Amino acid sequence: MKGFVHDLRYAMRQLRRSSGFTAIAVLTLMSGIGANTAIFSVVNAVLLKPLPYKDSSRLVVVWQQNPHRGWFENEVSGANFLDWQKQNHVFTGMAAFESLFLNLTGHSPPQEIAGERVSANFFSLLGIKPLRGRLFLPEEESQDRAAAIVSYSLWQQHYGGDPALVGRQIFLNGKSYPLIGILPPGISDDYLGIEAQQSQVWISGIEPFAEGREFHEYHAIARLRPDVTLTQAQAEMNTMAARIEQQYPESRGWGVALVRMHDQVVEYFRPALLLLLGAVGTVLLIACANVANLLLVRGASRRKEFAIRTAVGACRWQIIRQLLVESLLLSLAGGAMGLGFGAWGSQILVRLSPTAQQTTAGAISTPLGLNGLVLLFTFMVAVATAIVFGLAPAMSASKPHLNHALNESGRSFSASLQRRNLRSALVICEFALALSLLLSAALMIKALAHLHRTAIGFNPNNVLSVKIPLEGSQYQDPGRQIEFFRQFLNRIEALPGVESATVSRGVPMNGWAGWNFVTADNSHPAAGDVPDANYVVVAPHYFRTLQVPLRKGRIFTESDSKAAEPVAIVSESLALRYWPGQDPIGKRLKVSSDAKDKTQPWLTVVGVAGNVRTQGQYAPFIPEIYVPYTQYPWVLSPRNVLVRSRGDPLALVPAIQREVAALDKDVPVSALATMDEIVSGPVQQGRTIMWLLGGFAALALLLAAVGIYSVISYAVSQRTHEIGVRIALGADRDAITGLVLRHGISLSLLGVAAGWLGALGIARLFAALPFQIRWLLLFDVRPADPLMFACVSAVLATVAVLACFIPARRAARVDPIRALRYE
Amino acid sequence: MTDLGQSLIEIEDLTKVFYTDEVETHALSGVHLGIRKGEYVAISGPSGCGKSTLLSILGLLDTPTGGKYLLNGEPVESLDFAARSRIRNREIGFIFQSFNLIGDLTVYENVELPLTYRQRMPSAERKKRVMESLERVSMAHRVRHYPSQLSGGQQQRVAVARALAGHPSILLADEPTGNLDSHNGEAVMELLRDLHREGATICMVTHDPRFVKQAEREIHLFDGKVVAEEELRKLMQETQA
Repeated sequence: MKGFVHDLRYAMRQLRRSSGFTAIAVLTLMSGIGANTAIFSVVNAVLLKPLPYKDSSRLVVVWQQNPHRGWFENEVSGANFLDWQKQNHVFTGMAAFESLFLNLTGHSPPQEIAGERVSANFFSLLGIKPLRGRLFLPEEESQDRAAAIVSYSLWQQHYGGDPALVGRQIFLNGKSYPLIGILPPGISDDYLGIEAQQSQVWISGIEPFAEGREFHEYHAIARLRPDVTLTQAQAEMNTMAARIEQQYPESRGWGVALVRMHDQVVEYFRPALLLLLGAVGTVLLIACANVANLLLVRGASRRKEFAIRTAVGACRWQIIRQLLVESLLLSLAGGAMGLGFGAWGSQILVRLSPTAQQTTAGAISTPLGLNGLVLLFTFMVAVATAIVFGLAPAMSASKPHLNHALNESGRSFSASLQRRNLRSALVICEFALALSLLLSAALMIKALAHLHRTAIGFNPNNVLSVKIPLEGSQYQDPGRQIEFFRQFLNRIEALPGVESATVSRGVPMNGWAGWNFVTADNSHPAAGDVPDANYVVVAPHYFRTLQVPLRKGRIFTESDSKAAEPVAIVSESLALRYWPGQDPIGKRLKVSSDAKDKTQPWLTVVGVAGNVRTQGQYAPFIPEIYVPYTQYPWVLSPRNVLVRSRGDPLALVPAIQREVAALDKDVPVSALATMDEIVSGPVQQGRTIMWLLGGFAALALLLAAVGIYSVISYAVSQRTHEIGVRIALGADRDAITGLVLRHGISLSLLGVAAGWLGALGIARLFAALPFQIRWLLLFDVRPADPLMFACVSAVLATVAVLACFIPARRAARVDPIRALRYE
Repeated sequence: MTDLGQSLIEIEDLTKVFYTDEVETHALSGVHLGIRKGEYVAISGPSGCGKSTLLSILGLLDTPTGGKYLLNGEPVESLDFAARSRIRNREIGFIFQSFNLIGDLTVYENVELPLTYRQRMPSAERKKRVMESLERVSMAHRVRHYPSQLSGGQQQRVAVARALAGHPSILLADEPTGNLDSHNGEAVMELLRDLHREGATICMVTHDPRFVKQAEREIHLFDGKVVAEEELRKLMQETQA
């Protein structure tokens, strides 16, 4: 211990004395450790922290899946849910819920809030206890006895924390609900995973219906019995699904998938975060290699000191320990600064990624930043880093050739050979690692470029999207809704700067509402093979507003009223799939899985519209059926108003709010966004990862450049005498410059070659990812893209040449007379 | 190697001044000197008299502050770095006191080194010259050895081979026995004598009187000037007094 304290004191003195070296080493380590801290703080918040529910590891999300049709996580049918609930032996409970948006009125200006209609046992299944009041009772399962529970934030923000709120009535969509409870802070809708919408209110009365197994409308969660594993539960659910499939033909092809709730919540973020964790780990390794190189150089200049220590009796371990203490001090200083850098970086990270922000601020419910685990991680990384970068130089320096070191007046070719090889090997490793990182970033950049070039089927520029929910008893009559929007759209289109306006059920890129349909040509498809399409309810100017091209026929007009013949416009992909080689105009289809369904009319196709990428840039074109809202006003939910402007669409917001209020002061305007923002939403995560990977790759490149610069610079200083000899023998400046550049380039090329092996490994890793995740990260870009390999290698080689150019020029200017005297 | 009697080096009124801060040091002051092809010249004088500076200028490692320097009849005192490098490579062979072999290169590669700086020399020709030079100094059997595996005398013989490989007009030797014991020193001097007998032009800086006497001609330097032997003796006595 005494020896350690002595080493510590001496190390501090040494580092203080070499302030330049210390500063460079600490800054290098700070960048590496800080990047790791930043990413780990997100990994900790998103991947490692358990969900804020009781015994959350036993919670599962229940999905229906239809692999035959490529659907793997589908909502469940109410009838199936009821069967599972009754027949299963593997869950202590199952609960269903559906997401919805609700107009909150009666207390202050109308507000649309996210909410859920849930089973009465929903909160007890999650293990949540109310902060005030109580949870739902079984008898509140029926719609006529439905009650409401609000979130802590709604209670605070909307009701000012009113202590007497429980027991009052709240008005949602014009209906009154008794408010029976308030949830504690930090409870959110994690269980929805990426679709978490920060629900503010939960109402009971879900009443899953026992008819119509083809309607998949509910989310379901369950809690595993303590003695049952996920595999056992899955096996029983498979058995039940098979039985239901046999009993009900419309359930043909439908199975059940159980996913642990935590896996469900993080499945979207896990690959990206692990990728980033790998990236920052690579940056740290490069930083370690750089500092190890600095230590090797420093060790060379301290050979005499170590020889003297050895001569007076120090054993090898004592010298290694002394050097490791110095490394540890450097690393801890780098780690301390890295903590600050990491805390700042994690905040930047959240700002870069709205999705992560939403998740980390809400669903995951663990704020980013420094906590015990992050501090421990940083400390462990710092200690491990010290060993990684300090051990090899310490081993090398602890073996001095006593005679040489004590008697030499300078150079010793053979003694330095081992250290030089080690330095070269470190630079080669740095380049190999940097290449792997650069390649990953380059692949992401290429993927994003491909995504941006992907035709989405409409023009999102200068289009504003707002939600105008019409709820409540005054809009129960669909005719009132039609009248509202007819007047509203006329008013909006009369505003200066507006080109056109429309209302629609949802907006492109923001999901889809798949409905089954049959065509008159094939009115009885086999059960399980009933076609489906995205069902879009629109106003006449929808196609003009979004600039979706009309390929054939006509668009809707005001004359397509309820009294007129029911009509539809279909997308090119639908027409091609179901009427190949035929004219789709005049064809008939019914939005139902049963041609005999009397509740649904036959629709006549009056037009064919261009394909629109409804599910985002990552997804293919899917068939679409457009119907006029004047014929289906009751299906028009959510109601999105789209306005194409001549200038900045956001400038229209006040006017739109004024026009809504003029028609009905109780109707809220919500979800304001430009279509450009909505279009960029699906690629947001990819863009964030690209920026981060790009940043880390740039940092890696910088560190590798500094690494090769320092190695070549040091080599030039060590070879000054040799350079003098070469000049004496007739080498001109070009020859000397070439000599040094060749050294640097050969190191970098060896690094690139080694990096290719690593990059091939990364390509294999990408290729081995599940298709959906690979598609999300790389889109259609091949992981082993030879052009990218070549480009990235060229970038690295160029950086190496530039980094070596300064020492090469210095070498070329060596004065041969001084060099020949150089000792 | 050369035609005996023709003038190889002509130096007139050569000066070299070093400037350090406010101090001017006159290393050479008006040196006149001529060396004929095939001649064996020894430059001697006390420490700091300018021997090494003169040799550096003769070897085009340094440029004079003033005066004229003709090499093979061509003025070379104001050539740029690249031209001096080219002439140095083709016309001058250096033999240093501390051998100056490159530790990372084998004996063969060390001898080959000056030839690698020549454009368009076929590798067969290069190999032939290297082997001839090594055989000339009896070191052909050590081609794959590294300098650290050789004795001092062997290293200096390799250095001589390197100087010979380029077929230079003149060999400039700077205290070639300074780092050798008497036995090895004598062997190297014997080698230089043999080379001279074969026609080589040699200009050697040494302060060892035994080896000075082996040269055909002695040039004595004192305080940067060429002086006669008697004058040198007198000046040395005055200095010592």
